[in-house]
Amino acid sequence: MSGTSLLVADDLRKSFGATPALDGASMEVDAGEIVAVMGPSGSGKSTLLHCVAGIVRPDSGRVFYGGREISLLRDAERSALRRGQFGFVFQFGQLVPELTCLENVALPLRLERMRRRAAERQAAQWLERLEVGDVAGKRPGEVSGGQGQRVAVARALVTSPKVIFADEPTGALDSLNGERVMRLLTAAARETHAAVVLVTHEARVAAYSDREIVVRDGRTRDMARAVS
Amino acid sequence: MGTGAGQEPDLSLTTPRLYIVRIDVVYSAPHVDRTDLPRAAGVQPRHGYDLKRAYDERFGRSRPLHFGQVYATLSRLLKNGLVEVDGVEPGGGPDRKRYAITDAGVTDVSRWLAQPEKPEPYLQSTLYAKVVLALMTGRPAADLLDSQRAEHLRLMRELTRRKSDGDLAEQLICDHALFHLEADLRWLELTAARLDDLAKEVSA
Ligand SMILES: Nc1ncnc2c1ncn2[C@@H]1O[C@H](COP(=O)(O)OP(=O)(O)OP(=O)(O)O)[C@@H](O)[C@H]1O
Ligand SMILES: [Mg+2]
Repeated sequence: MSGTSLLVADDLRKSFGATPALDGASMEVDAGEIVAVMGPSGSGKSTLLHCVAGIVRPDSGRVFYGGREISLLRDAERSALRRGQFGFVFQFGQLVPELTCLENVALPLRLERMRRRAAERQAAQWLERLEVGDVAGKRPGEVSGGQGQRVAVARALVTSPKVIFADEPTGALDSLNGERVMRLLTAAARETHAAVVLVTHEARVAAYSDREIVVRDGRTRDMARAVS
Repeated sequence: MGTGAGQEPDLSLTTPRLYIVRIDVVYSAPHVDRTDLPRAAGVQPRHGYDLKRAYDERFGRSRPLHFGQVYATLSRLLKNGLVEVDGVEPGGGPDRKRYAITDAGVTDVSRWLAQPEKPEPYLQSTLYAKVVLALMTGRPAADLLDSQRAEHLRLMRELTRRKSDGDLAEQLICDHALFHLEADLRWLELTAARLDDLAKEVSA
């Protein structure tokens, strides 16, 4: 196991009842690297992402972040890690409907006890950056899918995370909007030197990554490292 | 580094170059009403060399025209009355003549633009043949599909990078290639999922 990788998952197994979702999955992600996780529906991509991000505990196998084993952390430590170091973007339904887009983006900072004014100032900058500054005062129900997704990306980036976990971030968008989300997400990640774990079954989306990992029947195949 | 580095992907349009050169001559026609043309640039009759440069700039970034192609095309157009020689400058060299489009040429371009292209049927697939041959000879077909996917993605990454550095024209050209490569990849996925069934059929 390489000691230099930011994120390491080693031989993960996870079953839901009798269904094995992961059956020996391993992956490594370096700092600042954009890695696509590809594979057919039901192959275990989302389960892998959830395990690696410390949201789901695997039945066996180990996950390391910065050399620390995540599964050994207490729940409070694990959520602190998720809040402080990780950002998340999902396919849909992740914005709080009662809050404005600006408040949604400021939320992770508020949870870290930043003052409202400062948090909203930073949030506004990220909205601008993601080219949705104009929807700051609207609620998620009042913006388009593409705009909502860019707000979600802004929220994932506002804490300057070291890793962004994105599960089908363009899954509900048309080509043009998906393209825009990917362009802005990867540009921002490169600039802030954040790593991205990008789950997608779309090749055009995966083409924004540096390399791909293929999941099939709960097992991973790291193409770049398999070839060399 | 990767095998894809250094070798420029071939993005040349499959459109017959003859017509593309012809379009450029349209732009240079002195007596055509240009209000219905998409671009009013380059209004004067052109030399073969100017046509080549205009073509390369717009369509031939990864595969420029040869001078020979330009002059062969122009002489064909000339023979068919689709362009005419607008003036000849004194001196030697092949680029003395300036060409302008004729009315027949304008009609011909309109007809060509209005006529839909024949869709590519894609029924002759080397990839399919390789998969079947691998199965017939007991070689690992799944590995073949995997390494093909990696190769496709390598090119797609390169095009995606190129697209983000390029102008709108570059983006459209790269997108055209990216959507086609994506279609290949979807086929690879589907075939990977059906490999066991295909193996049974092949060995039957
Ligand atoms: N919370 C859960 N409860 C029960 N079964 C689950 C749960 N989550 C995942 N599974 C099962 O585990 C397997 C892998 O699911 P997972 O969601 O990881 O696949 P995926 O690759 O993300 O698929 P998709 O591309 O459709 O999102 C599937 O068989 C799925 O039904
Ligand atoms: Mg999933």
